Amino acid sequence: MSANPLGNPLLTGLTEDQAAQPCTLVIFGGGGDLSRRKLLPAMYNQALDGALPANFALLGVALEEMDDDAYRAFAREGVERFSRQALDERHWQDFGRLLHYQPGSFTDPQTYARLKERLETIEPEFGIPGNRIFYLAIPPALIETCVENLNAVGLVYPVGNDGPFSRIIVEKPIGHDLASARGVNDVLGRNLDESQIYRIDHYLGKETVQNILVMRFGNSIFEPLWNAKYIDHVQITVAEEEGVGTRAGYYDHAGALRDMVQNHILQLLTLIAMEPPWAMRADIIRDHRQEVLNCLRPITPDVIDEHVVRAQYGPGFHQGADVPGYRREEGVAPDSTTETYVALKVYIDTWRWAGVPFYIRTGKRMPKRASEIAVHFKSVPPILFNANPDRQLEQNVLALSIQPNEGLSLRIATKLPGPKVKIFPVKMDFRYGSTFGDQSPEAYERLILDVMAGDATLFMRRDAVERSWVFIEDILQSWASSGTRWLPEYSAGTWGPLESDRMIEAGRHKWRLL
Amino acid sequence: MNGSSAQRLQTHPEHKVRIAAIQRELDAIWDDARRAGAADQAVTRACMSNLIVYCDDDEQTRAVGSAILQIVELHPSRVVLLTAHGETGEPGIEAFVSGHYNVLPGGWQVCAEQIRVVADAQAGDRLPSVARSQIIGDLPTTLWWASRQPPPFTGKQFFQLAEMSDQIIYDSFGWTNPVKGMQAMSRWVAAQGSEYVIYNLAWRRLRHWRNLIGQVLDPAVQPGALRAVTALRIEHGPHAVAMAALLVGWLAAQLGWQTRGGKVVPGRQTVWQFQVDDRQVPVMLVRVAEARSAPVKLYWSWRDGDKERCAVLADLGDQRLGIVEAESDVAVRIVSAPEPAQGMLVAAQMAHRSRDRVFERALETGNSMTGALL
Repeated sequence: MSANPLGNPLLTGLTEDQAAQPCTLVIFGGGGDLSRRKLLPAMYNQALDGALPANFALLGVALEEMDDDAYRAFAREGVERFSRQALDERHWQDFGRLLHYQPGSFTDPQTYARLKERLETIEPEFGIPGNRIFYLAIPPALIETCVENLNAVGLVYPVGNDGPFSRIIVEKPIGHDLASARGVNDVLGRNLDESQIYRIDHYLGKETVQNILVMRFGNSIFEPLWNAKYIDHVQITVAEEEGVGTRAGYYDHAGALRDMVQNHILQLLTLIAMEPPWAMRADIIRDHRQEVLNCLRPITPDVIDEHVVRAQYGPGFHQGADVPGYRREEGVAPDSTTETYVALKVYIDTWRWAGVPFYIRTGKRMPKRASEIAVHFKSVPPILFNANPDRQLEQNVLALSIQPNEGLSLRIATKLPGPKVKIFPVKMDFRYGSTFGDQSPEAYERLILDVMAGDATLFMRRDAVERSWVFIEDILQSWASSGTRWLPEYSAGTWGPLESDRMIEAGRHKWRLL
Repeated sequence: MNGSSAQRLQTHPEHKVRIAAIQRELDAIWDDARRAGAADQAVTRACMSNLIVYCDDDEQTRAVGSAILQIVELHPSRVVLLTAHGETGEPGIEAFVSGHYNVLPGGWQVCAEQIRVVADAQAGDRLPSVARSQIIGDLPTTLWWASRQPPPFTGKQFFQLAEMSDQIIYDSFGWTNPVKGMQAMSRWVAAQGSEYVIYNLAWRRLRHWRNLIGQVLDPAVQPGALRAVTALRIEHGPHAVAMAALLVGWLAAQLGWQTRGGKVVPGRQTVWQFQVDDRQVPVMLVRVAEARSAPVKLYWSWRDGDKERCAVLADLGDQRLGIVEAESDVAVRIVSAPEPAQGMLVAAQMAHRSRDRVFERALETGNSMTGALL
C-alpha cells in the first residue's frame, strides 16, 4: 500500500490542503451567541461544501435544558439567519442528524462524566475513532474548571500515542492582563500539551491576512523593498461602526487596547514585519512571528504621551441618526474611563525596521467598518517630477484591505495623457470578490478545519499571548498610575480625536482616509 | 458558487473580425468600456491564464458558452474558443471577438477577452496557428479539450495545441469508445514525462466518492476492510463506464492490486480479476440503463474472521452520498456531494497547477486494466 500520514492510502491526495480527520466537535457554550452566529453556521457550510469528514458528529454542551431536537432547532435558526449559504432542506436533514446536545453546568463534575458516556455512545454510531475537539466558547473564568474536569474524567489523551487525539480550542481573551493570561496558560499547560491547544483569533483566518505571507514571500518585487530603506511608515486600522452594543459588561472592563490591539492587531503586525520563514510549518511561522513581538520597543511612562492616544466616543451621528456617547450607553458606568479608541506609534527594534513607525488605530463608532494595513513607501527624491515643494508627489502605498472587502491596492504615479507632464496618482485595485467571484469561506470555517487537520499555523502559541501582554501591560500600568478621570472625546461617526491626528502629524504623517 | 453568480458578468456583444485585426478589435472593446463609464471611472483587466477551448462543432461550442462565463468569473482569462467542424459563411476560417466584464463601483473590470475561431471541415488544421498568435505571454496556458473524441484520436491538432499549453484538461464522460480512449490517453500521458499537468474532469467528479470510500473503510474505523476485500461491484449509468473504471483504477493503484484478467459484455458489464495478496478478487462494473450518468452504487465486501461483511455506498440523490443502512454492516454516514457545473470544475482545475500523482497512478493502472480487456 502507498504511504499516507494517516495510514490509509485512499486518503492520499484527496484535498489540496491537509485533510480534516474524523472527530467529534464538542462545543462548550454550544447554546451561546458565538455558536448560533458563527460556529454552527460554519460547520453547516463545511458540510454543504463536502469538506467535513464523513465520520463526524457535533455535541453542544451548555446550561440550558434542551434535548437534541431542540438543539437542532436552535442551530437551524442560527444557520437560517447567519449562514453564508442558504439553508437547503435536504442537506439540513443530513447535517441535523450530526448534532447532539448535552445539558449541564460547567462547574459540575457530573457534566463531564455524562459527557464522556455520551461521547462513547455517539462515536461508534458515527464511525469516529475517538478523536475529540473541545471548543471552549465560554467565559474566561470557566476555562480552568472546564479543562481540569475534562482531564479528570480522562477526556484528554496524552500526546505521543498512536491512538486518537484530543484538542482544545480556546477563544480570546486569554486573560485580562499578563498575570491572568499566565494563569490561564498555566491551567491549560497543566492539563494539555501545547500541541493540543489552539488559541483562536478569527482575524488570522481571513483570506487577506493569509495572503500577507504570499504577497511578501511569493513575489520577488516586494521583499527587497520591505525594510527601513524603502518603507516610510505603516498604518494599521481596525475601525468599527458599532458602539459597545450588548457587550458593555465585558467591554467596559476591557477597552480597545485589550479587545483589539493585544490580539488581532499585534498578530497582523507580526505578519507584516516578520522575517522570511524557511518552511510553511506551524512551529517555524510562529517562531518568526514571535521574534517580532520580542523586538517591540516598550512604551514606557516617559514616552507614553507621544506614542499612545486613548479616547472615548461622545454623542454624535451614525449614518444620519443620533447616537449616545459611550458613558450613556446601557451597562456602561457613567464615570467610565474605558477607552473606545486607541492609537499607537510602535517601533520594532530590528535591523529591518529601525526607525520605521507603525501607526495603529482602532475604535468604535467610527464612520465605517474598515480594517486595513497600509504600507507607505518613501517618497521619490525631490528632483525631476518631485521638484515642486508646493506639490509633492504622493507616496506609493500598498494597502491590504481585510474588511469589509478583502483585497489589495497599489497607488502609483502615472502621467496623464497630453503634451505636458502632469502626474496623477492611480490606484490599482484587486478585490477577492470581483476577481475570483466565489464566496470565500468564513474565517471560523477555515480555522476549525485547520484544527481537525492538526495545523496550528494560524493559532497563537503561549509565548505569543504572553509577550503581547508584556507589551500592552506597560501601557496599562502607565494609564493606571495616571489617575485620569476623563478621556479625550471624539464625536461618534468621526475618525477619532484630534490628539490622535497630532500624534501622527508629529512624525510628518497623516492618517489615511478610508 | 451557484449558477446565478455567473449572471453577474456582463458581456460585450460578439462581432466578426478579420483574423489579422483580432488584437485591434479587442482593444476597441476596452475603448467602448472607457467611453461608457464616467470620466473618473477606470477600466481594469484581471487575467490569470490563457484558456484554449477545443470543440468538435457548433453545437458543442454553444454548450460550453455558459461554462466559459463560470470559468472567467472564478479565473479571469484570455479565452481562445476553437471550433473544428463549424459552419462558416465562407470556406476556411472565421473569427469573432467579445468581452466579459464586471461592473464595479469604480468602473469596469474586464475579466475575459474572448476570441472565437471557427474552421470548416477542411480548415481545422489551421486552428492551432491562430491560437498560438493570440495567447498572452507571461501567463500559464490551459487547453480544455471539450471534444467528445479522446484527445490523442484527433492527432496533429491536439498535439500542436498541447505544445503551447502547460495544462491539459479533458473529460472522459461520454466518450464513444471509452476502453480504447482510456488506453490511448493513458499511453499518451505516460509518454509525456513531466511536461504537462494533465487532468480528467471525471476525476474531480469522483472526489466525493473517493472521500467517502476512504473514510468509511479507513483502517482506524473499519479495521481490515481494505486489506481483506473479497469483491467489489460498482453500478453506473449510461456513458459512465470510463468514470467507474477510473474509480477502480484508483483503488487498484492505491491498494496495490494487480490486474490478472478481464472481459467486457458490451452494454452490460465489465469484469476484472485482481490479485490481492494471495487471492483473486472479482471487480464488476454493471451498467444500469435507468440510472444517472455516474457511479450510483458501490458494494464493498470483505472477510472479517469467518464473517462476510459488506458496505454499500450509494448516490442518495439531492447531491448526497451515503451508506445504504439496510444493506450494510457499517455505521450510517451521509455526506454532501456538491456537483459543480462543468465550468466550475474547469476553473477549479485551472487554479491547481501541480501534477496529481494519485490521478496519474490511477490512469496508469487503468492502462493495464484496459490492456486486459482488449
